[in-house]
Amino acid sequence: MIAALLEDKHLEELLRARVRQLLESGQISLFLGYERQESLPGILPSSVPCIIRDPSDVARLVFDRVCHRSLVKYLLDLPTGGDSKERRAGLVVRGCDSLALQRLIQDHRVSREEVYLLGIPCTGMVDKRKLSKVYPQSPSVSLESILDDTCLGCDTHNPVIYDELLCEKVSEAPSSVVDFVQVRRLEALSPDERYKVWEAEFSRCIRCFACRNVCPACDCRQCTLESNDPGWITKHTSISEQFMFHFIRAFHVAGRCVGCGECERVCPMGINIGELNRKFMKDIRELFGRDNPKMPRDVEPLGKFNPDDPEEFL
Amino acid sequence: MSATITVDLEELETQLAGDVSRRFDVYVPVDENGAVVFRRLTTPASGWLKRSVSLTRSVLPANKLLTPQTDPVLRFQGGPTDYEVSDAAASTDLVILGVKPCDARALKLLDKVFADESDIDQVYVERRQKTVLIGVACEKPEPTCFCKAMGVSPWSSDDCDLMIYPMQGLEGLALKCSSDKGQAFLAGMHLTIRELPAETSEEIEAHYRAIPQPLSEFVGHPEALSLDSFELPIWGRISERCLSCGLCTYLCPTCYCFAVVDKSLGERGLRARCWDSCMFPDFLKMAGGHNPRPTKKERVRQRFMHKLCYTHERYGQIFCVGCGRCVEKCPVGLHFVDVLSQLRRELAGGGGDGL
Amino acid sequence: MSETGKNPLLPSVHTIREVRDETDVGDVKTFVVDGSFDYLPGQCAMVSVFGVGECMISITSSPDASARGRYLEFAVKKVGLVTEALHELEPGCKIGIRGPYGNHFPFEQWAGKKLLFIGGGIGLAPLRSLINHCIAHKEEYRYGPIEIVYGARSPGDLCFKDEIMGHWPKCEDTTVHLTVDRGDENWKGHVGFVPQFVEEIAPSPSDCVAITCGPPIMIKLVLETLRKLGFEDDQVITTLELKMQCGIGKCGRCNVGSKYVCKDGPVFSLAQLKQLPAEF
Ligand SMILES: Cc1cc2nc3c(=O)[nH]c(=O)nc-3n(C[C@H](O)[C@H](O)[C@H](O)COP(=O)(O)OP(=O)(O)OC[C@H]3O[C@@H](n4cnc5c(N)ncnc54)[C@H](O)[C@@H]3O)c2cc1C
Ligand code: SF4
Ligand code: SF4
Ligand code: SF4
Ligand code: FES
Repeated sequence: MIAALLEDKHLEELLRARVRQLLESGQISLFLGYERQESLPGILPSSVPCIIRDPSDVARLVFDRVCHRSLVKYLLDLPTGGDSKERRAGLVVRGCDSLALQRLIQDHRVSREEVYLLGIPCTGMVDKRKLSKVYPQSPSVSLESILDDTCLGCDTHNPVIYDELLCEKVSEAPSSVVDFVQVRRLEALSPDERYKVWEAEFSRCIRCFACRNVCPACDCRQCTLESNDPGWITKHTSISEQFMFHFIRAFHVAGRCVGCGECERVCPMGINIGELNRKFMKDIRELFGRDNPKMPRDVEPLGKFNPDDPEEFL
Repeated sequence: MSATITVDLEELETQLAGDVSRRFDVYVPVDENGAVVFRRLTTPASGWLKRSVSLTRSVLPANKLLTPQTDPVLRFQGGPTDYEVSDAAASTDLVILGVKPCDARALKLLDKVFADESDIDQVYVERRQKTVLIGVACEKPEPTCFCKAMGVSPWSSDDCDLMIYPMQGLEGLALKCSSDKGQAFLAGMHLTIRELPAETSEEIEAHYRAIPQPLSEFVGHPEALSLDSFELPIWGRISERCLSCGLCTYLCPTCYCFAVVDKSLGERGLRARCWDSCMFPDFLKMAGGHNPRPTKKERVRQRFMHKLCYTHERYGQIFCVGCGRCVEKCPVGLHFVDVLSQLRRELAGGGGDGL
Repeated sequence: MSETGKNPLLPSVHTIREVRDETDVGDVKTFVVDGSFDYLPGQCAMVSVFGVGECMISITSSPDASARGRYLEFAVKKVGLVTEALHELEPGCKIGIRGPYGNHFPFEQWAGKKLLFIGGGIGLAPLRSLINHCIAHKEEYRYGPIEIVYGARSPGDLCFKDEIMGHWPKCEDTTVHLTVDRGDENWKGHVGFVPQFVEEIAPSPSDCVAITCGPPIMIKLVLETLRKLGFEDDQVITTLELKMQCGIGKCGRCNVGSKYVCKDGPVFSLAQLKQLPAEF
């Protein structure tokens, strides 16, 4: 029952056929997609990123509602330069993935010509926590009730860049759920209360860096968190270092976050770091008049330095 | 093995929050925004004991309390010619309540690393001696749990000092002492103790024995890997999707890698042991840039070869207790069960699924 | 608070007595520090600059000399954070030292054998401790002739000049062969890479133990040369260098297979290395 909600067999067939053609014709040398994990008793179905190089493997490819993780960052792992053909990669992109890819293209980490994009207008992924409450027992569940909150609030269902679309575009509903409700609630607190909230959140952080590693806006070649010179941050986890880490992370994605929600989804400690990103988005919207702060632009509000800036630092 | 007893829940709760908390640092699991974490018992609201023992497996293993993420080694003060250095390694009398049997077993494995070899880590040993482990039998294992396959029973008191059986329908809270330390600790609380008849004790065991753990059956009993597995093609294939976050190692009760890191603030500073992860790209990167594990292939291989081969060669044990944390949390499903199952297929000659 | 002696990572504080520049460009300095402990050639210690960090350094003084003089010597090449900070220090400054760590060169097992030492650059540091020890105990262990082959990039990069050009060649039955990758106007000696030089010298493998230490690429080629010359795997001894944090087999950093280089190494015979996965 639930399984049927998750899958779209027709789309999957289209995807496989198209990838086979692309690989066989040599137009791409590999394809970044998703495959279904081996089903384990009692455990939620899940699809994970995979790389297909051989056309006879296309049957592994799936596209369903448990395709979490964005594929675009895997492009950075592929060897580049020389006569390496690895970067002639194909991949599936949903709305949020296309924003993420634009981010990498804009940062000159990936070039548009290297990638072949199979666009998929997407109507949302399911939230594993919501799914786990109903899986596998409940006979009838509405899709709406198990969709991820980020997807429910999504305003970019259709890819903004692609080479071809695998299915019809869907209508873009304006975001309803997110609307910065939490941000407003946090803003209403006194500075002391707010400090308490973040202190409690950040003190749980174990610095696994899962949030950074899934984030498409975190695409630096050398992350300052790994540099010991200057040593902005060490492996010590005192509360001041925790704040430092989270400030660095939040500031580095400010104005660059595409709102995919991956950082919150992967955090094992349930830290609501997404609120920081949304706070920045809200500010950018209000202070710089950007109605869609997720959309990468030529010059980002926070991506340009003005020598006359009244602020001395940065 | 002593008999199963029952104590009054409220009486135990009062003792732990009162007198015991004055003698020990008492840590209990609490639910923080949906994440179960161990916190020091300070000003608990009544009913905490019942809530604590009914919580599911914590996100971070209980045993990490003995090897904290930032563990002070020394403090220093002064300048290059007149440093004063003081020992900062500390151990306190600790009670950890709500330890799951998997995490308790993990400590037994860590004992082999820290307490069993020629260079004994006395700080760890001292902590271990000063810690009372109060286990709690698993009433409702997570779907991702497979401890039975790894030789841990979710109700076993073997690796704890005291064991709580939070089973419904008993008068009072069922307990079992499983060490002298546990016996002494219990005696120190002066509780009203009622011994349970042997058949009730058997009923309790039967109750826990009957709780299913489907993933364990799927996993079966894993064999250690031989060094030949180092060269298997599987490592290159499965590691492609790894994100190189250290989540799997930080959440794993049997992972213990650390770095020694200095942090100074002006004239004073702290040197500490800080968790580190073999999944991080720079874990082995040396001055000059040489890195013996330059790609995800070598790093993922290290994680699994370490657990399934190297620790077995060195300590005679596979370093996994089947807690299921990596199964639940790895963002890309590159977890112990998945890898084990692919390894088996590969070793059986199936060659995995392509590539 | 744990009692003294319990904390395995707690260093003792030592005062630098003397700092010697080893090379012309100043990238290698030898630090002589007050105070010593019992150790054997090949063992290392964690040397630390407070506030910066620790690094593993071979004890380059020979146990005989330091036991008498109650000092330790470390030759340190400036390559990164901690080693740079060390190079800033002068006599009178305090550093942390904990050790000794690791195994030692199995000099007790070489009774009656000829010894061939092959070193490159800073790799002579651990060998120096061993060479001086072997020279001092030559009669006790009835060692045969001692041959030392040592090379560096340029004449100015040769370390321990007093010994390689002064003391050692004067010792009985001891020959020193020096080479540099690039000579200069004053250099009258051999020019060429260490592995080729060894091939030219062509030492006979019979009743001989070869001990080599140097940059990884040199070691790799030297092993190749020794094999060509007919040395068996158990006649060849070398050291591994891996990143280290604890030095006592606890931090999980320096494993090669099930061995910890800090504890089971750093000294391995080629025969032993071949039992390990090639990941170093
Ligand atoms: C057994 C052994 C013996 C050694 N003996 C000597 C010696 O006699 N003289 C000498 O000059 N050097 C020696 N080294 C190398 C020396 O340890 C490194 O050059 C030094 O750690 C670099 O530290 P850094 O902070 O300057 O470099 P960074 O690159 O800034 O290193 C940061 C941290 O990484 C670690 N690290 C980086 N590279 C290495 C490395 N190659 N080995 C171990 N840890 C590393 C250290 O923990 C260091 O604190 C030895 C290494 C080993 C393993
Ligand atoms: S994913 Fe969560 S726990 Fe990990 S570093 Fe990010 S905020 Fe911290
Ligand atoms: S295996 Fe999973 S949890 Fe571990 S580093 Fe890779 S992506 Fe992160
Ligand atoms: S490998 Fe995974 S399942 Fe096994 S003990 Fe570690 S976290 Fe738990
Ligand atoms: S340096 Fe810690 S285990 Fe070797």
